[in-house]
Amino acid sequence: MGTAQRADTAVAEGPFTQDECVECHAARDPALVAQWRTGPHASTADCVACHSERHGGLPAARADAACTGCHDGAVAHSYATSKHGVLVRIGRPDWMRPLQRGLHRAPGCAYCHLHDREHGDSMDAARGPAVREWVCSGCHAPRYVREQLDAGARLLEVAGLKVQEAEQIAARHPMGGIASADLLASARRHARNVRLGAGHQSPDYQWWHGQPALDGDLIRLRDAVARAAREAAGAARVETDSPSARRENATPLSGAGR
Amino acid sequence: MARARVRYVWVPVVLTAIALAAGFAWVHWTQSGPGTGLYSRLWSPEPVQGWWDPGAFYRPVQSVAGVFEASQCLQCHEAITPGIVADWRDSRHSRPTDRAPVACPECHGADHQALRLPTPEVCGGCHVKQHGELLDERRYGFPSHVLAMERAVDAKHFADKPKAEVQACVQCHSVATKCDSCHTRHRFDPAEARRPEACITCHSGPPHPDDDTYFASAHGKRYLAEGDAWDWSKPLAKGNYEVPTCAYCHMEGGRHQVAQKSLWKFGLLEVNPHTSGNRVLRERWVAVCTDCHDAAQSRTWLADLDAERKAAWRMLYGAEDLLKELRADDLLHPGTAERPPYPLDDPGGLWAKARVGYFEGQASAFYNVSAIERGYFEMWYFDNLGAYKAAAHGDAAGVQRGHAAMAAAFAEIQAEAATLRALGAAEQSKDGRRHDPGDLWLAGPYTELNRERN
Repeated sequence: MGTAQRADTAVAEGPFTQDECVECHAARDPALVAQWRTGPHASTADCVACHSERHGGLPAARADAACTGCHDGAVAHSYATSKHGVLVRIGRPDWMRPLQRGLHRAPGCAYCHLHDREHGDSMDAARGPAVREWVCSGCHAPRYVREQLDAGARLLEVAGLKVQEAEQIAARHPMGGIASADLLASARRHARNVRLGAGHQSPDYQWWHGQPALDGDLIRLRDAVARAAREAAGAARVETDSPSARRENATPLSGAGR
Repeated sequence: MARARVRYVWVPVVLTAIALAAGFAWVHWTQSGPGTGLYSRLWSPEPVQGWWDPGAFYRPVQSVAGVFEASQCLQCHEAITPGIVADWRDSRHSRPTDRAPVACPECHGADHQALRLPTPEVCGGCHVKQHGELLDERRYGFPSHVLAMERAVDAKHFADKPKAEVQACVQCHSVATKCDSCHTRHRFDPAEARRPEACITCHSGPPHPDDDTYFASAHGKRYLAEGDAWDWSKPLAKGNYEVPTCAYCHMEGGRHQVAQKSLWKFGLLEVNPHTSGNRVLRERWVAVCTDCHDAAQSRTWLADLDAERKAAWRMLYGAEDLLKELRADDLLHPGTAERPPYPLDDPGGLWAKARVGYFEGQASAFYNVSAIERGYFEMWYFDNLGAYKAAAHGDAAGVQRGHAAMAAAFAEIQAEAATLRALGAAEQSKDGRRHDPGDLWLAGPYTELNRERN
């Protein structure tokens, strides 16, 4: 597709500015530019960020390296350790080929997220399951895809319940929710790992960086709440213990006064 | 008199026979539920589990009827799933030199309503040696590839937790139940399986950073720098590769038994590395190392690993003793009755056990426990195993990091134990009882869901 377009008109090699790219391509391919304008990259990555400022950079823009400069950390690692990421890494992907079904041994970042010249995000949940099913079923049986997507959704529901539980525990902290802000943030980060693990098919992110890590967050949150309660009770006890307080509370000695 | 003596023989014989029969019946009964394994009656599989353990759970799709030949399969699937058809065309299965092509029906069957997802038995129909080696790996026990699925579903937390959650486990443990964990479908190219990356989808993450520790080693650095240019079609034999990869050492010569040289058992067990059996294993390692290195040097490295393990276990036992003392003095919060029961335990049952603090089966101690127990779990499972992997793979900085993390975790556990003692003593002397956490450890949407399913 890209190659065909390059062949039909002779264009200068560049370099071009962002405005020059948009001016020309909005006329040649208005739908594509519109997708970019309304997609997640509109405010974060312009044409030259992925394609460089010269023509001929299309294969490089299709390769994973074009994405991982910005999308690093858990996003890149969850993909790199997945079977897809591994096969792209050790294979010799031909990035001259369009990002279409049947043309790649394994999907790179752009194969799924910018499938077949899409310039929004093909994997955006708002696009609905049909798009994902189409992309995945280029290689996987339709029922396999549906069952994997369902399993991913249920895995995320479980993670969601844990985050909900974390919020409820944090609310019980005597010093208010803010006292557990770090632990809550950790729980949300681990829930995100579960999502990345499900989306990128990385068992390691679904599990070790995800579910048991969330279990640890819940334990530490509960411990923080329990500890604060015990220390508050202890402080109250110390007050009752001080000579002045003891005088005030001299008469009723029953029941520890808590 | 003689008759009475005969009774001493037949009564025990009959009792033993009854006990044995009852035992077999009991085991058969426990394993005949909707799930698999020891707790099969306590769980049912998610639909998706059929793809990870096809032998037990795969159900063929019923929406397409008919018996097809390979050419017909390809005709349809070229449009439906073009990626796998392209992969198959690039595979040796599509054009073997010594026989007719191994096409779709050979592995999947021809009747579309009775399709099978290939198990190791299906692949073993032709790949007899590799399949035989895999099955024979059982004799080395766990950890091993062949027992991975059995041990996953027989973990109490697998039976206990929501099945949607523990589907994450079986994706890696499916290495026992299908061959494409390493030989990625539909190309099944040994050249792919030989590369270290074939292993890292599962051998990564906090308890087994095999990827990070190998890539940080001298072997791994050289692989990363030069490996893309090597000829991976060569067998894993002396002289064929400049540095060893995962499979070069662990699946020497392509032998499908990763547990064959397993000395320190994945770091999971404390072993005496110098038993007569383990001396045999040590010599197997020395034999691999001497493909490139001096034998005396190889033995020194093995001794370094022994020393690293000894130091690690010393720290673990130190932390464990503190937990046992806290348990004995009833100072762990939450206590037994204040937390959800240990997976599959019945607190009101006949054999009720108070499993708090340290107990056998650390792998299940990552939830429904107190913060100090969880701290110990992380010290054990993440810091300790990370250090082991680094030591075994020759990542010196990783060993240092792991032991520093263990020391820090131990110090934290010591400080926490002191705090628990001080708080507990204050509460006892003033209130005459433990602090009551109410339902803090029992309430919450996830914890309640888990308990209801339990």
